Amino acid sequence: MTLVNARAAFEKAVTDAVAAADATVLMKYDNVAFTTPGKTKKYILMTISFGQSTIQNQGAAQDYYAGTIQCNVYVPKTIGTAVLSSISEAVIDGLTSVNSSGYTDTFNSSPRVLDIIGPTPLDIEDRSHFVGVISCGFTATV
Amino acid sequence: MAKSLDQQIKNEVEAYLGQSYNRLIATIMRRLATKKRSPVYTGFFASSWKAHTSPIEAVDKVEDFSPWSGIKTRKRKDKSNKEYKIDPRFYPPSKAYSYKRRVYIGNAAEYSIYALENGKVQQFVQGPEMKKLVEEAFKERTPKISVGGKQGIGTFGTTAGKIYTGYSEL
Repeated sequence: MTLVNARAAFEKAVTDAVAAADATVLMKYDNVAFTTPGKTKKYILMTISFGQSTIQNQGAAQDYYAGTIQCNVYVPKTIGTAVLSSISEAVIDGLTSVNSSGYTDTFNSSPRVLDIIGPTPLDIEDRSHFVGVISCGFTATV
Repeated sequence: MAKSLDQQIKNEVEAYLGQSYNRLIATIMRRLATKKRSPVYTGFFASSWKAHTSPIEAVDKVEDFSPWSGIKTRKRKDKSNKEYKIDPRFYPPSKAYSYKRRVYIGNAAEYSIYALENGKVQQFVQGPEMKKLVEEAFKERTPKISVGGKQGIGTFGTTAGKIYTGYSEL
């Protein structure tokens, strides 16, 4: 279950931070089936990819998860990029909250995020939304 | 005499670092040019990874480069067409880079920034695979030499009872 816990730790941290900043933003997770929200909705697609699961010390292997987190922030072009920025800040705050000394490790997974890249803004033609891409590496241990 | 030994060690270390650095650059470019690490539609993006001492300008249009221009046209006409071609245009790098200089590995495809939405590139660049590649590239390499210096007697199957030369790894 530690794999699930590691994922849950990051998802909860970001979701809480975003909900506190703007309760109208929908959260979508890559491990849960979802339909793409409509053209007027603000939403975040959070993807967590695991690239490593154990480290082999002397003796038995130890659970050690490492990978990348990507949060794509989608904001309708009619609203503007200022909202994209404020939601992105909330996402970054959520990600970094797991590194703070006051973080309560509810999922017992010692989550940590590494350097955060973004938000890289994308204005893609023929799309109803601006996109802000935020990504970082992460680690989690048991 | 001591100075020349210093110089010799310095030269050897510099040669080792240069070789490792260039090997790492080539490995990263080769891995990026795969469907696993780059989003693929025609394969032009995956084929356009480039190394340079200044940031890569994303200016190449798929329409200007064969065979991708043709693939794009065919795919537009037939949505079920799964055709793509990954043929790295800038690999291997045309020169050896000095480890003392920063090297940028970027994508020359005009629409490359949009590929970030997909996340495959970030998963490679920020994930544990890249860290491992860097560690591997600069790891001390001992020569793999095995010397046949002992006699052995086979114990299994058709080799049972036969005498062979045993090798010891140095």
